[in-house]
Amino acid sequence: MDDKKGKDDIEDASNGLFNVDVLVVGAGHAGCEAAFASARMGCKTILITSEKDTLGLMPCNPAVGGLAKSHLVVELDALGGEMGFNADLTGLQYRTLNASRGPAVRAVRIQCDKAAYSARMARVAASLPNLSLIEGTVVDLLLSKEESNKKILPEGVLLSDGRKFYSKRIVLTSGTALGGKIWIGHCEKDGAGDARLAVKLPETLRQLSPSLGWRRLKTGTPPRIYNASVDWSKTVRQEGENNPVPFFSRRMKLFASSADVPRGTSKKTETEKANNGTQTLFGQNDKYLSFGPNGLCVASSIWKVVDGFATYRSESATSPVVLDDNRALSEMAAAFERAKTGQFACFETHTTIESHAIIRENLERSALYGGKISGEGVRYCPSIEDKIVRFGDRGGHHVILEPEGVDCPWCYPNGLSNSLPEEVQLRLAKTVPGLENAEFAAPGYAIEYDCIDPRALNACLAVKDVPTLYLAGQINGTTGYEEAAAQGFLAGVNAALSVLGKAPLILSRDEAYIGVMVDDLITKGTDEPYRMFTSRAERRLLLRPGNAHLRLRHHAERLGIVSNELLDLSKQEDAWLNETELKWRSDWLDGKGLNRWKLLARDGESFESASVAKKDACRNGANNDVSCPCKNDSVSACSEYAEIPAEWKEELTLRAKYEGYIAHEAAQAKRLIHSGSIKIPKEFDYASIKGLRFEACEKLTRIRPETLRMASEIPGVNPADVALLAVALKKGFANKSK
Amino acid sequence: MIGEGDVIAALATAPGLGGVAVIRMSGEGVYALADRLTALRVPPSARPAGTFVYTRLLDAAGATLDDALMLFFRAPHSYTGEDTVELHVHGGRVVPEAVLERLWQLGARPANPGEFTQRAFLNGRLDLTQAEAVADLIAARTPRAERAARANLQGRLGAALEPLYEDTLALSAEVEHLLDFDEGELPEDFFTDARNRLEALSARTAALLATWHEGRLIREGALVVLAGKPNAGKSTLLNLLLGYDRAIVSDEPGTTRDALEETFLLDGVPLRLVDTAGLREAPGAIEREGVTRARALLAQADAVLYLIAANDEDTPPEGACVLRTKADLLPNGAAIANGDPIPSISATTAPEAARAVVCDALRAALRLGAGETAHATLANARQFAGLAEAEKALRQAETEFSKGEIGYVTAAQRLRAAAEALAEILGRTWSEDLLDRIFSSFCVGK
Repeated sequence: MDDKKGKDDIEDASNGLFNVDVLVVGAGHAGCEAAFASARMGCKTILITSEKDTLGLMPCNPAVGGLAKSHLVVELDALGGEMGFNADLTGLQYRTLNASRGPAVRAVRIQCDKAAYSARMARVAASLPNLSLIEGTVVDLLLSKEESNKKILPEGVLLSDGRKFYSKRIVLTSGTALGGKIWIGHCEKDGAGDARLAVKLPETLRQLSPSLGWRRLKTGTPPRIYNASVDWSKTVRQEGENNPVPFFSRRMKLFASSADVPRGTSKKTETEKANNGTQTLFGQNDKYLSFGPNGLCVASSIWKVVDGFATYRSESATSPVVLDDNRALSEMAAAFERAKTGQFACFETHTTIESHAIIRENLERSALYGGKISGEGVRYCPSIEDKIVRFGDRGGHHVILEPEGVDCPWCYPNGLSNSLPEEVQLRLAKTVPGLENAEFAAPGYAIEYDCIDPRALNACLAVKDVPTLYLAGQINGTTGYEEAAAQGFLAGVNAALSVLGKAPLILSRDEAYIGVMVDDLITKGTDEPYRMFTSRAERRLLLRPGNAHLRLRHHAERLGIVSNELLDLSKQEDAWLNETELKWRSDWLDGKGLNRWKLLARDGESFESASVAKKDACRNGANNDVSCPCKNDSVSACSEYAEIPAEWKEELTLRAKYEGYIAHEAAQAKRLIHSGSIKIPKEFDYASIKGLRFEACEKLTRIRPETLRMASEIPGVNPADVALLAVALKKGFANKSK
Repeated sequence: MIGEGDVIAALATAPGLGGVAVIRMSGEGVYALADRLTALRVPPSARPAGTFVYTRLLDAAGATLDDALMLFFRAPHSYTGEDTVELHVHGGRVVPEAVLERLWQLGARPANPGEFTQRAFLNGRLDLTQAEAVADLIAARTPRAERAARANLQGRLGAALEPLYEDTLALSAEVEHLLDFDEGELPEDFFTDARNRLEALSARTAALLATWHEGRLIREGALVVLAGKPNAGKSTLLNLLLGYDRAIVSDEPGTTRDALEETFLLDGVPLRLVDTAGLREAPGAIEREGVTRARALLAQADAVLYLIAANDEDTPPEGACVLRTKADLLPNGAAIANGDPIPSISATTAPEAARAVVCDALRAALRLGAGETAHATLANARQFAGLAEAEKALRQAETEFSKGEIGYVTAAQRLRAAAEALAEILGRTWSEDLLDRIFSSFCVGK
């Protein structure tokens, strides 16, 4: 930040003359969040991508959110990330998951128009004054000169066309590009489509840090099927939610409660659909497109098959549109209009006994089971081969046909992910009701790629022994857009903070799912692609999506990239909650210790009925609280709560209801925090601990946990090992203090 | 890596008179140390594990300290899991002390209380419940307590807790799994099934909890108070149980004015038997004080034997075990004919029968099975508190599940809490103060 350079200056950096603050390699979900956050925090930032109009691509399923992932998106939104708002604005279908299990684990999933999602990301990138988008392919890292007593650090990147860019910090989000190998049956293809990186980069990384622990992981995607070849009558239509309140972004929620949004009823929509008869595949295309400039910029998206891959580009990126408040408002209005009246449908069908027979007959020909792929796959997002082998027939497995975009000619058959030869895939698809005449736009495939052992990273996602290099996304062994985005954001923010000379942003396990994920990654590592789950969080009842903006407010204030308006509102809500809790805990209803707080905590007692009970008590004179406005006969003062937003009331109710559980969670977590505060010196000699088992010693030496608790969570390090380590650390401290 | 300070040593047998004293040394470098302790042609470090040798122990000047047996153990096949050498030297005070002195010279250091066992635990030779059992074993006052501790040492408690923990963990994992994946697609009878399994788990936990009482009796004994009006026969009963005339007995009411305590073994359980002043508005100051003490003891007692003379009427305190004494004063079989549920005894005319009746009454009052414990017993408050917490959490989980989907998350949380509580009893989770808490209660040498 020593030079006050404008955007144009940064672009001059293409000749290597200038040094920017943060350089982000890769513009997927991790890369975009990293670059946006860094630029918004005032750091000169370069985002390098192979193609300018492919920001935030969704190479697999066309949805953002889902169980637990939704929590990540909401937290990201609370801190100032882009993903939630972007998904809200480009959604085709909105659904709430886990609704029956209460607000702690409630989740949102939004089917997005992939091209629109990408287009909007590009518009955001173009609108950020500190951000420069560079088109090119990174082939190597530029390293500092070898000097005695000075560690060699990366200083910049080299592009395939010879351009060099220098930067104080580098965030690498290479996705599946490193060592990417695509398998369709036993046929191998190189790289991740067109986003491949040349081989020098991994070699240099190995050189820089021998402890990165490279290994192979795999993931896969189903074929894409042309809409025109589907017999939709044989499938079951899945509508979106009628009145989808819980969007990811608070901006959307606020808009929902304030703006005068046209509210079409679902019934009316049904009639409309029936009358038009034009409702084609997933939704009403014509109506959709009529949103024009205020809605999705979809007219310019290009869906095409390139080299056997179903790809898309969005040309709107080349003509940057100013993102001002007015535009944001009109986009939000359009999104709400779609959510109320124009949501797209998905279509449900299933595999059959015939499908399973085909899979079993051809198992040897699948890349996964034919021994071609060594990488560990996503256990939780299994390919159809996996499902048959591991779960059997189960009367057929779900297949959901999902739209990829408003005008996309193909659909995404969720559930048919596989790595069989194309010919077998097609035969398989044809056994699924509705797909008898299926035609593929592209076959499904498995992709195997290189990633590191994330235990080589610190809590800022910087490589422990290369502190200026940050890694985020699939390269760290995770799977999922949301997991990638959250890491990218954290890496970008920390790169920026470190350039600015400020304390890093470290999220703990008891304040955010993001903290849980990062902590899991850097302490336990992962043997398979890591995915977020609610079960991974100890403080599940505390870490609710509804309070993300409250629990992360102090971080958001420090980073300063969430609008003041939103932060002020969080502050007000926080104040109201604390004040009301205090008041309600102490007001007596019946003189026997019952108060509104307890009433609220009871099952089935709503906020309103608790308020009413208070009012009744006032009327009956049972309330001795002279300060209560009701004492002054103004019963109307008790209706003050009627004006309170529903979300605030819900939050208050949950605080009361979960109080006991949260206290227990806190007690359990306290132990963790205590041992978490016992730091292990960086150069600690584990071999000097007598009695430490060889396996534990080897693991601790390799992983180098930062705290005692991190040590205790490493698989293969048992409680006895930790006890020994604790004793050794204590001794060490004792010696020092002497 | 091998520092001489690594070796700990201590007298493993009780200090004082005795034919043989055992000194145990353990830690890396113990063989190097042992080599310097003798002038054997084949030094200890060259000798195989599981052998012993008769040798002379030498002091720094090469003079003989003692003739001793040296026994060799090699890691991990030793009590501590480390290299260990045992010295069987002559007993008494002088010789063992001289040998220990020599060991300190050679670089061994005195073991802290419980350090051998702590090392055994840290090296994975014992689980926590076994380690605690070692302390119990040493502290055991009766053969029965020793047998119970030995059973726990052999892993009986761990063996009972382990499956409980595993099953709780399995259910918890399943519940967590379904929470993350299958909303609306739960197996049809999931909630019924989960509740049934929870019920079974909490029943098993409760059964194990019930052994706490027995375990505590075996370890700590019980306070049994003899009470009743003056002259109800309390002192006579005390003497009957003890088998000798401990208390002064007379027909004069108020003979016993102070509380009199003696130990009595019932089925191997040590009972503190306290004879108290008869409960009445006492005439003298000393007796009044005695009555006050008696009432205080009644409040602390694990069991109260309340005696009522056959020719008298009295209202016993609630929960007391009532016996009708001086049955010989009644016409034969009168009590039974009257349908009196209170057992009658006569210490003077039928002492053996009386003794049997009293013992049965005590067993019932203390909820003590007549036979030896065949099952695991909870040995200490730490285990009891952990298990009680687990049981409570399991029951709460059951209640939450009965609410259906809306109770799912809270049920899952309770189930986790139960698993954590069980894990802590087994020492599966690490907590900083846990080990200190456990091993600090040990004596040196074990």
